[in-house]
Amino acid sequence: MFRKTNIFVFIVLAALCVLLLTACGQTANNSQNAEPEKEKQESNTETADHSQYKVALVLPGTINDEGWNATAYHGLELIKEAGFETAYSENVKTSDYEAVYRGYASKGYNLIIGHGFNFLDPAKAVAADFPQTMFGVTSTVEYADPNVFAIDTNSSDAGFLAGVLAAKMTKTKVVAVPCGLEIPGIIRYATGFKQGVEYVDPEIKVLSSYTGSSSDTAQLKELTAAMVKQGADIIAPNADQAGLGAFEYVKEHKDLRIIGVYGDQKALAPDQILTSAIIDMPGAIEQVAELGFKGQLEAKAYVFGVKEGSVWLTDFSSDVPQDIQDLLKDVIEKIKNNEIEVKYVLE
Amino acid sequence: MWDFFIVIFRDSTSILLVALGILIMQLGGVINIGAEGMMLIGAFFGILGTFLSGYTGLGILIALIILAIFGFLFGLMTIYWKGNQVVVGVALNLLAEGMTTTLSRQIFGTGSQSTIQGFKPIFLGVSVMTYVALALVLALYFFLYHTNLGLRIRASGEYPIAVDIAGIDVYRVQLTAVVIGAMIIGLGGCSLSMAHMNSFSELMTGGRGYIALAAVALGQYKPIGVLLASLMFGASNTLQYHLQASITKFPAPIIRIIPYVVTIIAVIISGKNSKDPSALGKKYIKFS
Repeated sequence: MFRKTNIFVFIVLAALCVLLLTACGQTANNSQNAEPEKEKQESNTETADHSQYKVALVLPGTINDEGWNATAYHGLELIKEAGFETAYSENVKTSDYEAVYRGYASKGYNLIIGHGFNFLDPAKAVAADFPQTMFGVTSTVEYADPNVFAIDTNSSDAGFLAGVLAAKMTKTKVVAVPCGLEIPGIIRYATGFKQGVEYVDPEIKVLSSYTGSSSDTAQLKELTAAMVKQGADIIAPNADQAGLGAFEYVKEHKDLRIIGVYGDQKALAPDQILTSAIIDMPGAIEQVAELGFKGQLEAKAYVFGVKEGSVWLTDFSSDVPQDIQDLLKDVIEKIKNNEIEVKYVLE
Repeated sequence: MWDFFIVIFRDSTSILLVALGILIMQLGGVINIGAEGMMLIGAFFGILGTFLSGYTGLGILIALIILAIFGFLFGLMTIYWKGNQVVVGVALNLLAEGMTTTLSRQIFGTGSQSTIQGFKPIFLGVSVMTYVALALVLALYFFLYHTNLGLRIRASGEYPIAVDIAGIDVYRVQLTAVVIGAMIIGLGGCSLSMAHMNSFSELMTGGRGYIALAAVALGQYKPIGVLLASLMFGASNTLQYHLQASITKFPAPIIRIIPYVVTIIAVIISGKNSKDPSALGKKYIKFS
């Protein structure tokens, strides 16, 4: 059954793959080294010192996924523009996290950011061996002394603002948060939303649930439909790409209004979107790098919300009356002054 | 109550179409794990064709042509070249995932630039696709039980030697079944992206191809049975959405398992009556 020629073919193919792999690895390294070099010369005049500080980003997916990984990469680009020396690894498998961490740390990188809460354990495992390096992990609030810290964007703040707006705009006294994956960032948005609605009127009913998928648009559309059946007239979806399903449903029913999240989603439903709650992950990464450069990073949870200027609302649509716009500006001020405390919880 | 039925039909249309496509293939003796991928390809090219031409009809035609090509290749590899049907099917799924994602990013970018004027509900709140699917149930019943080719397809899946001895080219019969099946699956993909939604998004099929595969087995390889099984999946999904929307205090994951629990119960109850075609998944080598 198993002929010798078969085995030979397998071995040749395997050898070819290994050869190609090493070739790829080298070119990737070269380009990474070459680009900061160029950058260095350009930005020498204003921020010469930044180039001494080396930042690496480890991504679980590709940099051009226009979502989770792309936002972090965008942050890295901001850092690069500021003159830092940067490098990144994309599409890193869970089993390789530790190896990649060790690689960057032993090359003398000062700050290594793992993009996702599952980078936490590998970071803890490696951190003790490289006390000079700071290890950042996004989308978590867990940290470990002395050099593993957490970076998170405060989606609860974003949810709170969306909740206040929804509660003010609803006519049916029912609002809905159809969500995708049940992950910290999205759960915190939903809990923040509930707090926001409660802040305005505890009588208003909040419908919130999860489909468990970040890509199944049809499922999210049906969940939205079911929520509208329960009376919801303001929808604030948070489901990554599957969120399109909610926009789709809202566009088919002109009396509904929708609130975007993460980026400006105005283009998806120009006539019916009230505003988008921006959560600025790139900005957060840039701030962390700046802190690291100043030597101020410590093992703690850095949470970037309204106060840090990482969460805000885009321009309101004309459907939002002036007094409600003023109220929201007031709420943002109050959060900044600690007059309103948005609970940052997972429940 | 009537609304509830509309949602059930809307939700199960794509699963039903894909299941019908799988049905005809599997009756011909070819396992199609690749249904998920075929569905995704159909969903993408339906949108692309409509986007480029401006006509939904043309979009569907393009999707069907592409699926016929993929079906032909799938048949060639499994029937003529004797590739392992499961392995080729899995490969097709992987190919479809990568291909549609890459092409969609290249052509549409991200966001909803792929939005088209899809099918609107025409009668009793569901779109034309639902009626096409229901008509196909009857058509397939007639085709499989009352036409020459239908009987030959079923015989090839049950006892290919007999077909061979009768002087009929088993391979060609199976290939025909695979191509027709692939096209119907593609139609299922179109119904998801063009009737249920109006746009394509990456990996939007979300496992419906596999659910359809289960629906075929649950439906005991009969068109009417497949229809009932698909409606059951649609109903359990609908129930799940409505429970999620109305009971907010209850943990969502427990509600989300409803469709799967229903499936397990259905399999347990109907399992002993369901018999796969005898030659399903077996490589047949012709005499001549």
